[in-house]
Amino acid sequence: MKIAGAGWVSADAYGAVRKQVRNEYEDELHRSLKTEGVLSERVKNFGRFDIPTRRAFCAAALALHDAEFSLDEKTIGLIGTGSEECTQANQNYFSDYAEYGRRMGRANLFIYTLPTSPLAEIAIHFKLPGPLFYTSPLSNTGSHLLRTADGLLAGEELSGILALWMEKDFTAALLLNAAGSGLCAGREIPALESQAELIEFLEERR
Amino acid sequence: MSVRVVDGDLVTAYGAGLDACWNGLVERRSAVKPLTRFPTEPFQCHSAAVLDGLTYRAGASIAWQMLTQLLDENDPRIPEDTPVLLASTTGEIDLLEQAIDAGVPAVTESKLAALLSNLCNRLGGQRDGTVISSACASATVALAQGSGKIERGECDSVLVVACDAVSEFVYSGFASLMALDPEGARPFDAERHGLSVGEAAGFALLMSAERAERENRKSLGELAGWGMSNDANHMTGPSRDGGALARAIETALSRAKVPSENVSMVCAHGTGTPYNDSMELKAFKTVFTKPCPLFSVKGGTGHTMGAAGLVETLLTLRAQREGFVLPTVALRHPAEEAVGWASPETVPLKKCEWALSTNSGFGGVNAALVLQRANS
Repeated sequence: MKIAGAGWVSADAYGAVRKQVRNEYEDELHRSLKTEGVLSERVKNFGRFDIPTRRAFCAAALALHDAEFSLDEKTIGLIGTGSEECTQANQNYFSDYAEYGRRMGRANLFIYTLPTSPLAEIAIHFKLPGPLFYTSPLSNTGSHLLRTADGLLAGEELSGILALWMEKDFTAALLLNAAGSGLCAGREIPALESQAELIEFLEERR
Repeated sequence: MSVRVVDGDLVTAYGAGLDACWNGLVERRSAVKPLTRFPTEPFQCHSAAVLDGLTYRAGASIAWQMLTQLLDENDPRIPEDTPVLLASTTGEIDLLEQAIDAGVPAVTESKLAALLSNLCNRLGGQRDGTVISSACASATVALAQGSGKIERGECDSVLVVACDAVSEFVYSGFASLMALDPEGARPFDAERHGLSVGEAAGFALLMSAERAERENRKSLGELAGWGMSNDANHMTGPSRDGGALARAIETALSRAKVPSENVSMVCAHGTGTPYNDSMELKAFKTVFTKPCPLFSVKGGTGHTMGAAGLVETLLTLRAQREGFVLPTVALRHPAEEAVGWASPETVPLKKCEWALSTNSGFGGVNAALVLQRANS
């Protein structure tokens, strides 16, 4: 398994490892990515996305662009992990429902109340037709994410896995291939405590 | 390498035990009933399939109460070294409801990770644990992932535990999407209007054939193949053509090395929403060259969300052993596109070595399992 590209988004910056991008941003991250050619098409419903979904979406776009991966006729799966799950979205939905008299929930908030919601928006925009699920271990999150991707690449007829590690202030996205060129092999990556460490490790290997 | 299901059990709105659920479905009884757990007046629907005797928002979560019932009966049979895959969509979401109503910013307790940690502690031993969530295909994906781990030799047994509860959170959300049928779910019916929410907890213990034989475990059947795909189309609605589900099924059949004509029955996701059931039939008609008997349990059990795939896998394995297709409870007049496929009656089978079970969910997820009958 090779890491073909990596992108990341923090609360005030974003980057792509192979292309050596590391920029700060203010409000409209996706507009910056469009200007830079990372996003080539209008992102439908971006205004509706909650903040974790926006960050995950932009990190995924950066990783795909970083890998210069053609999406045509490719089968890419999508997995995600992270300790936040969708707790903020859950709170937003139910608080809103309770505040407005428990008469009707807001569908546009309800649809983000699954840990897979950010992944689903990514799959829809980039037309990624492979397996899609959220997976979270008791410990060793980064290693688990890579192991899960490796298992999928070994067992499914997939050309790649987009793996997202989503935390409150930092989202990292990796595009993983079964073979071919890449930043490094998945097995070379040591157990790391955070996504920031993971990105730093990959930048050192660039 | 074959992956055996060597143990499994359920709690559903029919009561504790797989037998209770099985008997209810065979007798064509629905467990969907008027819902009194929270006020439903604002909604278009007032029913759900819930377990009797559980306390809502007073101590332990509904999911934990169901899991406790389940494990009290069964955990002596679960090995201490077996890793756990927990499948759920919203887990203990009623804890978050309670916190918000009390004005307390408690968020950690309602996380799936907290439920997993408590579950592993409850089961004891030094076991590894992982949450798997893939909307209403969560349990199916967990079964596929567990089978993959065994097939790749990462471990020789996996415990898949699945649960989801009927809560005001989920109920109001489905109501906001106008997804509930006031008359109760009628999968594949011409007059179907939506789903009924249901709740369940269940487990399936998967083992390599080698370990199962070494421990002299009985076999409930085998997970012979699995496939997963995504519609990449819409957050809540399925694709109209069923192409992605068909792809997941074809992957599962290919992995099992089973031609579609050898499949004797299909346990469909069959939620009762117009779009889901129609999409599924299109997928089945893509894969199968002639009608294959299918059933949905959701008119009886309700839609048990992240637990659905586990409930349905255990029921399908039982149906294979018993030699007949379960009736689709609450089906009265099959939709034109479902004629020859879905039936309100049991359908006896001459042979049923191979069966298919499928689930789909929000975000366009699809998952399919090919099941092999035990002792064949």
